[in-house]
Amino acid sequence: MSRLRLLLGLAVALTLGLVIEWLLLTRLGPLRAVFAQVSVLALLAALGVVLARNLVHAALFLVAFFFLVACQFVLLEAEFLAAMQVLVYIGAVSILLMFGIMLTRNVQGDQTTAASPATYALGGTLALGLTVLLSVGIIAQRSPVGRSWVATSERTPLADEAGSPNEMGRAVADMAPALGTELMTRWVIPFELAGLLLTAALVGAIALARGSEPPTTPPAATRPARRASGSDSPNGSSQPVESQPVGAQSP
Amino acid sequence: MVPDIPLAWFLLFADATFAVGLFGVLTRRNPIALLMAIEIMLNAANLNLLAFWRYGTPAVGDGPLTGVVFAVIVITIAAAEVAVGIALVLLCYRRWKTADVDRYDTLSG
Repeated sequence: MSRLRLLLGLAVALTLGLVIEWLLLTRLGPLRAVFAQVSVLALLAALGVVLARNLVHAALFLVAFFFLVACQFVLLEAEFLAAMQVLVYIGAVSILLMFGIMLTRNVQGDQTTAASPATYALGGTLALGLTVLLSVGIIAQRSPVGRSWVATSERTPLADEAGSPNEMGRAVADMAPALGTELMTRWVIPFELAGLLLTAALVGAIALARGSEPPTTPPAATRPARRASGSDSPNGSSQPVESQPVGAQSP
Repeated sequence: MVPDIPLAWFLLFADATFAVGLFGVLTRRNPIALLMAIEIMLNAANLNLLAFWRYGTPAVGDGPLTGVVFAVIVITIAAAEVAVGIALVLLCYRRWKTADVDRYDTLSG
């Protein structure tokens, strides 16, 4: 009975999906149809990140969102950046966030500290207002020569009239070496600054997260000297770890 | 001829995504959830940079990959930000035994 219902549900979902797919493909064309589906899924994933009660679920929604943004990068013909997005965001950032969730042991998320409805209303109003404001701006935009962003649907050409790739076409077709060359020649100062920032940030992160543990006990060679100097004044050693054996042996 | 995606579609999508991230930053109280929402906003900004790179013409002398270089730098900054952010969250958790930004109020008068 339940299996029959499952099969029926699957069939209905599949038919509905195919109809929607067919409608999108015939109305919009393949590129726009793919864009529309990726966008809707990515928006749903982003909403899942900000609304999920369980923080681990939020992190998994975030992984889906990163992947869908990587799909958008592919649609923008930046495949190398899509690979970078997968490696850096999915491979590193979300794992780091998972570690943070695990180490703060707060899997329940906001369940115990749910924001008040007033906060939700305020945040929703502000976010919706920003969306409407920016959308109106994007749709109403006109460049000095009268071109609008809505009507701009042809990309910067990658080849000249003769059909041979121009400078941008060569860079797009072989992006990793082109990007390396650009970073090492024209943009070398921003590149070095970013490297410096990354080093400083990671060293700082380790220094912060290691915390201030009590100093380790000194090696055995220095111990007798310390004890001899501390014997005349038992309060001289400030470390509680060391004062314990001194206090135990003095009587 | 396959109709290409208009530039405004990418911009509108990035706009909506940024607003979702902003909503998360305004309503969440767990610091790690805040970091996630900030990542969403950074990704929206990155998408904008790439869209303008692909649909626009770079200035003379700026090379063919302006937006991509910009996006790479943003990804670097985001990685650094999340590393420092997680370290700070761990430190705060250790000191105040809570993961709730509203309870980190030692500096408020």
